[in-house]
Amino acid sequence: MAFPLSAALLDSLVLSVVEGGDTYGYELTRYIRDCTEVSESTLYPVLRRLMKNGLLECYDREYMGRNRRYYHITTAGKGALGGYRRDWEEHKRCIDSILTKGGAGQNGQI
Amino acid sequence: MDRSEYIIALRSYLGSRGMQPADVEEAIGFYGDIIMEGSDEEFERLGSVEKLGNELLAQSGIFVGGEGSYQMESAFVPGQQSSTFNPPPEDPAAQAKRNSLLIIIILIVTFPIWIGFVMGMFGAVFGICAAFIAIIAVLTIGGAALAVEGVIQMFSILPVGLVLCGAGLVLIGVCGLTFIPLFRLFIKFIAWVCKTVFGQLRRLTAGVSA
Repeated sequence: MAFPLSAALLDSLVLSVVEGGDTYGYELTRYIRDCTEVSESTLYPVLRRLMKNGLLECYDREYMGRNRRYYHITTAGKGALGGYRRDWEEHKRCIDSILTKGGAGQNGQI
Repeated sequence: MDRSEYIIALRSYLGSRGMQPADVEEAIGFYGDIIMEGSDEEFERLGSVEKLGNELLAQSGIFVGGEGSYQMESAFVPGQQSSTFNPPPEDPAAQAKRNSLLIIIILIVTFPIWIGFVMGMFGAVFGICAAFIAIIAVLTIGGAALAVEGVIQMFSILPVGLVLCGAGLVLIGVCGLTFIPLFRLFIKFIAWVCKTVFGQLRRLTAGVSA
């Protein structure tokens, strides 16, 4: 069963992949598909939004006679990614407290 | 269609439907690698040029037929023209009023420049007309003087008197035939100039006060 990804989670995944090294669209899509099923038509608007918000920037590099667009995380993007990671840890802890960590005994139910 | 042709067709499709060139290059930059390097399944999943193109156009806020749907708003950057930002059509009356006001302001500001030119033009036209009238008047008076002299001479030297009288009358006749139509033309020209200038002024002031 697949859990749907929120826009914020998708943004954080993209930022995290790009933080590891400048990358281009197809490579980015393959990385993210390793953990969740996502299409190119989903990722492209995410990249545009992140660039519009100044969290990513892009540059072109020639590859086999055509321009390949690479994405690079900005300082603002690194800051946003840090916030996303803190929020995710908190969110994961809350979800795990109900879903995996003993249920009622751990989170005060009953 | 092979993959290279697909990219060319996609670029053309997006450009012809109003997507900004920078946005077209961004889309091609992203999808180019998928198109050229993706597996057959990945390439087929993109769909036809029209399908992918319409998706990209919709993401840019450009709809090509079909039902509208909610789209993320494009960022509006002041001073940057966007293909997705279409201001509502301006009221024609308001536009005419603004244009009239603008013309009046321009006329007032550039008054020192154009007034000299206009006055010079009028002066030149008036001078030419005045010179012409003076020439006609002089010739007419000259002709009258000749005719009178001719009549006087008829009592002493008849042939000379007849010639002078005749020449004087011919001169008067030629001047009269030339002057009258030219004078009428001159009056018509002055009337046309006044009508044009005052008509424009009336239109400008009417446009401003509307």
